[in-house]
Amino acid sequence: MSRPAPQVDLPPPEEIEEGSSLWKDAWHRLQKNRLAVVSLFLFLGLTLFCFLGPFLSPHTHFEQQRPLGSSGPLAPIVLVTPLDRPEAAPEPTTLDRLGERGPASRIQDPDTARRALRESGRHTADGLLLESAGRRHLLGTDTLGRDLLTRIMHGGRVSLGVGFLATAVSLLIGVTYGATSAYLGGKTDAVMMRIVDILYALPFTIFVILLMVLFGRSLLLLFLAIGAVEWLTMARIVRGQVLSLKKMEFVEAALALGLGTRRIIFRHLIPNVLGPIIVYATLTVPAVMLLESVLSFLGLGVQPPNASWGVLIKEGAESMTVFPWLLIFPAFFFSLTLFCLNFLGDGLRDALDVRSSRD
Amino acid sequence: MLKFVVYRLFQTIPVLFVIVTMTFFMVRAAPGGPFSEERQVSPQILERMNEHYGLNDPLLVQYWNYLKNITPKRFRPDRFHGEDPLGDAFGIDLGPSFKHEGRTVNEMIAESFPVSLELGLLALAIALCFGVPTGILAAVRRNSSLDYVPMSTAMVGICLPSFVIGPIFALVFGLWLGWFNVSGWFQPSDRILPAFTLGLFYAAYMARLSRGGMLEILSQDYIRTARAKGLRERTVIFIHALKGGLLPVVSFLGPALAGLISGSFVVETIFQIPGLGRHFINGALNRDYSMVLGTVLFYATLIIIMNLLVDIIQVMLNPKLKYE
Repeated sequence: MSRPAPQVDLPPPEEIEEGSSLWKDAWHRLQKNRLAVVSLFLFLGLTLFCFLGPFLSPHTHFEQQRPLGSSGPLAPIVLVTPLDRPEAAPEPTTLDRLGERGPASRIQDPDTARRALRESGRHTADGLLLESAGRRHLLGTDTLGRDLLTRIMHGGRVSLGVGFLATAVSLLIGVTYGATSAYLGGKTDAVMMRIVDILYALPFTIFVILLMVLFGRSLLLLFLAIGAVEWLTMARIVRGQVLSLKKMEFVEAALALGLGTRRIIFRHLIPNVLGPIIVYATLTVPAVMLLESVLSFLGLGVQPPNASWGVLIKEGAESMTVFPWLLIFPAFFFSLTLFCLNFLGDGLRDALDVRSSRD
Repeated sequence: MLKFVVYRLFQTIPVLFVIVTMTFFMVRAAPGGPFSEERQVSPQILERMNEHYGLNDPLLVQYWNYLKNITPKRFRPDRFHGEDPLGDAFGIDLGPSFKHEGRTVNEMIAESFPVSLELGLLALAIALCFGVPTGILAAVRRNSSLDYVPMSTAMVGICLPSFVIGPIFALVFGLWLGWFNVSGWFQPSDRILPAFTLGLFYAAYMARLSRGGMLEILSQDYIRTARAKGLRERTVIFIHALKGGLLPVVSFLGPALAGLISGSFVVETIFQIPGLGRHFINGALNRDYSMVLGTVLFYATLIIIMNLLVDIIQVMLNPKLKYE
């Protein structure tokens, strides 16, 4: 015997108004900043391009095709085979260089050959068989005939990798150091900050250069050296933030709960200064990339055949008088990345409402 | 004020000591020596050379001798003009160069530093003359085209590093237009491209800093008071706001100086300028111990003194900061 459940007309459940977190607010504010959003997606695109691109590219960053050295962007490639030695491997050259270099220099009338190649893709003249290869190098090749686009993608991996890893190193040191110093306070704080002040006065770029010159130019050393330079500002910023936070009630509550110092610093204080940390980290990445490319430009950073954008710009600058695209394309990608990161950092600063720490 | 300056000057002594010690042992710990890349020399000659330069002594003895040599022994600023200002005026002996026979590091610094200094000062002047007025104008005419256009340009300037701008300048103005020489340091016109290459980033950065600083000051109560008193806008901006608004620029001068020095390494390389930066890089590449130590020490002293000057100016502009 069951009684039917009493039918009560309940009002439809009220929509629970969702609280808006700091991060949601920040995301909304960031979305209003068109430039920052565009920068964010452009930067993500560039990163994907650099990290996935080399897998899709038919070329590698170190494979050399000397006869094709410094061919222009999209220059049509022609394969040259001497008719008297048909079994020989065909020598590649570009359409506009017929009659100039290598075996193709035997061609007396390059214009006719060009026209014929454009029309039929095959031409025989002066004892040579010319064939259109059908493939092109999108951005041309460097002086050793390596595909420039692939090298730019590979260089981007190295540059971005150095940028992010060194920033991570500097974050790790800087945040821990700054938060600890501020939380402990008193004499410990004074001594720790004195050390930072003294290190600040050292001409660090000079030391990084010295380090790279003297101890082989390894990538690992580069990370460590740059990371070791960049943590100082981070430590100062975090310290300033924690100093003002540590007097707040939630720290007192954590203390009352009997939590240890380490737990309070890492679980309660640091999460609350994430805003400034993120903003500063975003601005540190381009700074690190810049430092790395300065080193590479001076010939002290990444060594060939490995490449970073700094190396590519250096190589481009060496031959820019004849082949300006070798300078222009890497410089474009590098500057675009710096651009995105700087705009993004600025946008994040506004969105997370971080007071400029550069005063 | 005097106490602050003296205190800070004394503070530089341990810093310089740390720098000398670090550099000395770092250079020595590196593989290779100044004569290891020389054309095949007989072991006897190598021995004599090491003996001559004191490289056979125990490392700590060498270190001690070096410290003794670089300690200033006199102060005669009147003898600053001549072949060897550091030695004549202060009694500092940075030792002989290991790579340039018969030349001392003192002489080489005296010879090449003025070139670097000229480059750096020109770049700084460009940065101040272009950057600061642009920033002030952008702040005063906020959200107008006078704000957006120069500030977007400034962002471009920040994102184009000197080693990109330098070659492009050389390409466009040197080769294509033929207005300037691509490299060298002979005529006055040779200064223009390198100085702009080096100064552009700082001009852009200072434009942003002075805009930010001015905007913050212009929103303050005392500016409203000044306007309410009926002062002319020009007076409000140039007399009342400027002093506080330029503080960020002044604090940036310290880092800017260090940056100009390391930037000059790059610019001197691009434009083949015979400055101190190239001596430093070449010295390090060639294991020219005394040259590296001398230049690092020289740069470090320079940066520290400049930072001190910047701090003093900052306090003069902003009485809220006490000499700490």
